[in-house]
Amino acid sequence: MRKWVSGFFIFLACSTTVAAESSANLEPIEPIPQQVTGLNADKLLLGAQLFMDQRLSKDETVSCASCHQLSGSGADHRIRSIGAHGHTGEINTPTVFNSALNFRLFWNGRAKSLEEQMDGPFLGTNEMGSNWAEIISKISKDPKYANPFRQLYPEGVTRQNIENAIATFERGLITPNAKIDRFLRGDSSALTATEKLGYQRFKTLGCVSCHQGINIGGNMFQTMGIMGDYFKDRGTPITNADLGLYTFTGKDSDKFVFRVPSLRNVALSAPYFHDGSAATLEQAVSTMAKYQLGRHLSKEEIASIVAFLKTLTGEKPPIVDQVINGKIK
Amino acid sequence: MKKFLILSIVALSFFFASLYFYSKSESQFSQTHQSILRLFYVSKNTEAELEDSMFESITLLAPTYDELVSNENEAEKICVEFKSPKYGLYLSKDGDLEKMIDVYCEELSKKIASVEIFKSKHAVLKNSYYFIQNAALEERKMSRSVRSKNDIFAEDLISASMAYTLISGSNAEGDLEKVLNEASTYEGTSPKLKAIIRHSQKILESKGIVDKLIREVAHAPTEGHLEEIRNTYLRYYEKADSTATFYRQLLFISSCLFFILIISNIYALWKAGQQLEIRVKERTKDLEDSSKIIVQQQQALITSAKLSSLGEMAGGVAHEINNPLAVISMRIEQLEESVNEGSYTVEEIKKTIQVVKRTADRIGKIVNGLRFFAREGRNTRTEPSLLGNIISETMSLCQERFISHGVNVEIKNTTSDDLQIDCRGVEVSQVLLNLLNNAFDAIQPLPEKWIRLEINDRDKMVEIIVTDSGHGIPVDLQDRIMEPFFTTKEIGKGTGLGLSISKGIIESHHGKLMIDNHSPHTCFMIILPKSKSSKDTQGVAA
Repeated sequence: MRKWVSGFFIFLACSTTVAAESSANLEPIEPIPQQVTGLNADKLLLGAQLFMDQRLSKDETVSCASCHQLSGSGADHRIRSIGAHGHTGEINTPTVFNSALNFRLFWNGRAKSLEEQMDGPFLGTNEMGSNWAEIISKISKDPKYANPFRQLYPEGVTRQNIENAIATFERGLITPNAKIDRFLRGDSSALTATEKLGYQRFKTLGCVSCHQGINIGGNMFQTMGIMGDYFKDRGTPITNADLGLYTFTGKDSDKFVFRVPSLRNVALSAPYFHDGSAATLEQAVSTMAKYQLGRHLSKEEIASIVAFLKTLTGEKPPIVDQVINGKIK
Repeated sequence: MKKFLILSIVALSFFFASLYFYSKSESQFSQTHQSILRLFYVSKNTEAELEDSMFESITLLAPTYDELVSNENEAEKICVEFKSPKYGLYLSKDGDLEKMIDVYCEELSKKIASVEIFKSKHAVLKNSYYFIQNAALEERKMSRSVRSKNDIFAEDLISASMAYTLISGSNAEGDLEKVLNEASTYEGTSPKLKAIIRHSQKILESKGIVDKLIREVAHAPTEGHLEEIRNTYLRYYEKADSTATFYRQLLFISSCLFFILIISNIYALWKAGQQLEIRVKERTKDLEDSSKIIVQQQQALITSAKLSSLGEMAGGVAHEINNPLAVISMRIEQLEESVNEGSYTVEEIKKTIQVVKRTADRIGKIVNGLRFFAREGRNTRTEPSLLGNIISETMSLCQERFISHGVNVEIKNTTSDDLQIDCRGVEVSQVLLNLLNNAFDAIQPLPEKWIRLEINDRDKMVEIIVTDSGHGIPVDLQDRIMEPFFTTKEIGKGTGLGLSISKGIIESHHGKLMIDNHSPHTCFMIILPKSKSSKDTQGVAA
């Protein structure tokens, strides 16, 4: 009887796996839109100027763009970024690219919108260390902002309007046409055999349980260390940042809970994890497999997944070049 | 009319009061009610979609949580919407409703939180299920002949895990638990088995949580709360709506009333207008009638005044006729005597005949003058008349009397004989006679008695001046003497109509009758336009 039952389930497992593989419209990853529409170009330009304005920080040494480097990955390559007065941040800088596609912001997902998120970097003592009164005063005094603010916002320079302008710019920072997007849109030659194998493994090994959807992550929370104690094995003391969502909600069940990060452009954004502990993709994949999937992956498996992860690199947001070259009207 | 006005004002205020209350009650509902109903609909729908997308994730129909995330966001917006100020005024009117919404929102956020945890736990479950699935595939590839105790245990564990993953139920959970209880004896045997055990443990753990979360989400009391809120709201709405309906009916009644009043007012106005028109017509007719009477009376007056002056003249006229009659009588008597004596001569007879003939002519003239005067002239049209004739006709009626009473009459006519004026000769003569008679009467008591009649040609006009030896009219009487019934004559002697009628007659001839104050004597002046056909004869002496 038991044999019969187990045989039935094994058969069921095989058939569901086959069904999942053959069904094209059940891809767990969605291509990113090729163009961002519906943004006010003037507000976007104003947001871009503010994004690159160092005066938003207390000592006027860092801008948003200092850590979220637009020419690179939308983040920097430090484990933890350097803020105003040379302070070091508490957590690895997440990328600003495609951030509008995340369902929550910050590693611990405490902000629900880009606007809400801005308090973090602006006011954080280890980041820009400023305050709104000072920011508004500095922006108000600059004649180059006077006109656009007056024209775009009836209330002029206010916290809401600064947030709105920067958020508008950030919503434009989408990296389209990654190889995977082209592949998902039907161009099967966009991926090599290894990359396809990597994608297949990404799905069957279970990575896709969390890294999924349009942003290949960024649509759910997950505990760091489901199948093993990551923090104990890491060997370094647990920091405030390691506590994740708990620092926001205070609930024990939220300890070590983080927003699942997007894997788009992951090949560009080393080091990895909230603590920047993984220097390479191979290391990150291996760590993830161990603590999140409860699996030990062979070198060959890791290599194919890394090959797949590299297909997630999109084009630089088209507006970045336009902003840099002053082409945005 | 006043009654209508008051009723209109009452109806109007009634109308505006109903309009005010109606618009107030209506505006609350027409604008917000639909949105609130929509909000209920959207809320219910969003919750249903949230549950749907959650079940789709469980059955793997939805390969990602993106749909679930967007439904989570939509659900979060519901409470923001419910508490938004645009409904706030309305939904907070009922304290219970506000509390209900608070409870609902609390339950809804719990539901959303459950969905959030579900995603994480379900991902873990899925992940372990993938592992077990892979393990099952590998198990199948293994040669059945060399199966160890470990292999059999792994197979049991895999099937129990898969059964529990795919079928919810206490039996499957119990079976997996039972198998896992034996796991401690196999641990440490092989890393592969170890991994299968760990994943099975994870399945047992997370499947329980996931099932619990599914139950929580599926049985969340939010739907009931929403229904309760909806019913409470609708009860409140119906109440308010019936008020609005009441005001609407009131508005209808008051507008009807107002309309009726307006119509009746218009009708009353129209009727009053018509009556007014009739009355105006009547009055106009009366006026026309009375003006006709006045004209008739005026004419009668003129006639009577004429007769009166005739009466006044009667004595004079008798005198005028008596004198020539006496002459005739005397001559005839003389002739009779001579015939009787036989001492008549042909010369005497011829002379007597001549005198009698002449005197009879004279009487004829006087009688002619009387007949001329007695003719009613009012209805006749003006016609060119020789002024000289009018003067002589008039004089013939009074000259004798004046002379016999010792009044010296001087006539000074500087106009030409053929000077004509457009007039009714009788009327002008009447005026002149009236003036002469007045003068005659006025100078009776005076020692010096004379009357002077002057006729002068003044370019296009003719002036006739009657001066007597009196010393003028006192200034305080001058204004009044032209008034009707004013007289200074003894009672019974004058009618007091003479001058006023004379003035009227002259003015009807486009002339003027006035008193000349510059003269030291009493002096009346008539100015009349010359006839257009009359030649300019100024400067020609009579």
